[in-house]
Amino acid sequence: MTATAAVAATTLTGCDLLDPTPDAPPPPDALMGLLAGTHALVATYDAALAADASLTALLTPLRETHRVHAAALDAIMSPRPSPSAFSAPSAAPVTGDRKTILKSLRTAEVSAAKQAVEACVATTVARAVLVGEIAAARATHVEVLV
Amino acid sequence: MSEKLAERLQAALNAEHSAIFAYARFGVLLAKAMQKEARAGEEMHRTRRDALLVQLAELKVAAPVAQAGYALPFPLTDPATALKLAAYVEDGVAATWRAALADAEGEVRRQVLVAYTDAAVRGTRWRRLGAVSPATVPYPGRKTQ
Repeated sequence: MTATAAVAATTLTGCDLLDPTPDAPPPPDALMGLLAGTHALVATYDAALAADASLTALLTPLRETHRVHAAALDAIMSPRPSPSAFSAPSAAPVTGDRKTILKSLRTAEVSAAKQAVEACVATTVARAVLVGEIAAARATHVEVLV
Repeated sequence: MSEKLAERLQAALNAEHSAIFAYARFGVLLAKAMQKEARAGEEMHRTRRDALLVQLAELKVAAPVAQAGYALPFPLTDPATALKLAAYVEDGVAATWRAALADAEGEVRRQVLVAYTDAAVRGTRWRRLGAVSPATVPYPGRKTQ
């Protein structure tokens, strides 16, 4: 989020009417941070699923939802994010027993839901429903991570 | 404040009225352990209804009144159908609030999102209590998915 803001600030400063820089790349989409957070959730679920096979039935549909959200965000963003932008190292390995894993996933979902709420309030009319749906879906995940 | 948003809030109030009616009907059929959850849910819908009444009055927009009764989508016969109706009702409320998102902006949108999310979470809880798996959907309140 901070990195995205910094890039946006730099781009705006360089956008001077007297000195147009047509070759400068367009600023990243305002939903870039939300998309990055969505990919981070998928990576967190990947790590949790690798750590405890008994959680497969519970976690697989939740991870799939985050994947669906990432694809939906990707489809409406301008410029389209580069596919390599999120191939960064995956989340830290998940350790601990089932209870600990579920607790860490709940924490991740609560924080991700807050991010989506702020993104929904700030976004355009055309994007409000999708981003709101993502916020609500994340909140429902907390409900089943027990 | 757009005319469209006023219509969305009126629709939300109608949905809250029908939810309050439904909770009173199915709540008594639930197992004792779940009745506390039903009372909390009903209370949430009453709070939401009261807030909408104030909001619509401030906006000088007509507030739809509650009907004496609402048709249920299927017969209520036992705890299982009661749980099914509970999830159905919350999904309907969630859908109504979801539809208001695009017509609201700023803090009003935040308030709409909170109401939408509350209903989506409660619908998920009822499915979890009814052992419906998965209890979540990718897009809460969306009709087809």
